[in-house]
Amino acid sequence: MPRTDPADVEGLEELGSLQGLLEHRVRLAICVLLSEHDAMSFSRLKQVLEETDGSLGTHLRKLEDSGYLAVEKSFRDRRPVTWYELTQAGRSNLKRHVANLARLIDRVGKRAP
Amino acid sequence: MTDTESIREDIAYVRAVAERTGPGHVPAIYVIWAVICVCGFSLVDLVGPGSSWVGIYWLTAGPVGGALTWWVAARAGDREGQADRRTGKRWAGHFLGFFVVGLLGCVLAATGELTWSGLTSLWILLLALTYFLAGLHLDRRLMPVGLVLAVGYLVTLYLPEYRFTTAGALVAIALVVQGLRGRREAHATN
Repeated sequence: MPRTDPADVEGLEELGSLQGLLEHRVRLAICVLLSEHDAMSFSRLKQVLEETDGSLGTHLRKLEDSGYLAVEKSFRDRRPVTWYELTQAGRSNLKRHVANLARLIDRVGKRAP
Repeated sequence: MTDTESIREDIAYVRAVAERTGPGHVPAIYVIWAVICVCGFSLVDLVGPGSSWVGIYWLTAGPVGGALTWWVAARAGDREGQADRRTGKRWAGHFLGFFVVGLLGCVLAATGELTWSGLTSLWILLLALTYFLAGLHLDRRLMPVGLVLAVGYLVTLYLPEYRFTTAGALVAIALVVQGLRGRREAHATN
């Protein structure tokens, strides 16, 4: 029976510790954008991410329901504007996720011939 | 595709998206400071470097210009759908640093260590450094303005007449040109 390399097990642990919600690139991009900027509107996110209303709305709702995002509604020229901000929980989860990603890539890079 | 390849692609996507959203460019802010500089620098030639009017002007125009800049930037961010309060605070801290150093510099002239004309030239040199560092750390468009201000500093030392007016005009032109260039670049990106 082949023996398992301990390094592989550590790599799998890191893969497993990635935040499931942030494994989708659009949700990860949303969180990264909101960590850079204090708040962004729905239309600005849509313009930057080049997503459809429906797709972006679904991703934002998932992040909001998980407590990653705070939502604020306001009006501009009598039109409703929805603003999104990263919560403290969202920020720390993103930080952890990015750190795990970096560790994983670093480990794979070291093992590559 | 393996997990790590997929992760690498995701990171490349996120990086590309993040690069599309720098802090917005607001040409009106460049115009505001061009007007403030050209008026303030010309005033030095008009009433003399040691006149209290110069002090009154900068003590009023500096904070008013700062508040106006904040308001214009907040409105632009609101329109664009992107709020950058932390970036705004960094900008405010950067230029507030110059303002405080400028005020402390007055002690040099008040104690006779420096003439008021020399102090005004020194302010322009400090402003050159402030703009150059702003170009280095906040918005690269300000770097050439810093270089023009350094030329302006030399102008205030060697030009026989209208030296501060000439320096003010140079800075104003540099600010307006950079403001318009930024607008053109922003249009091209969008």
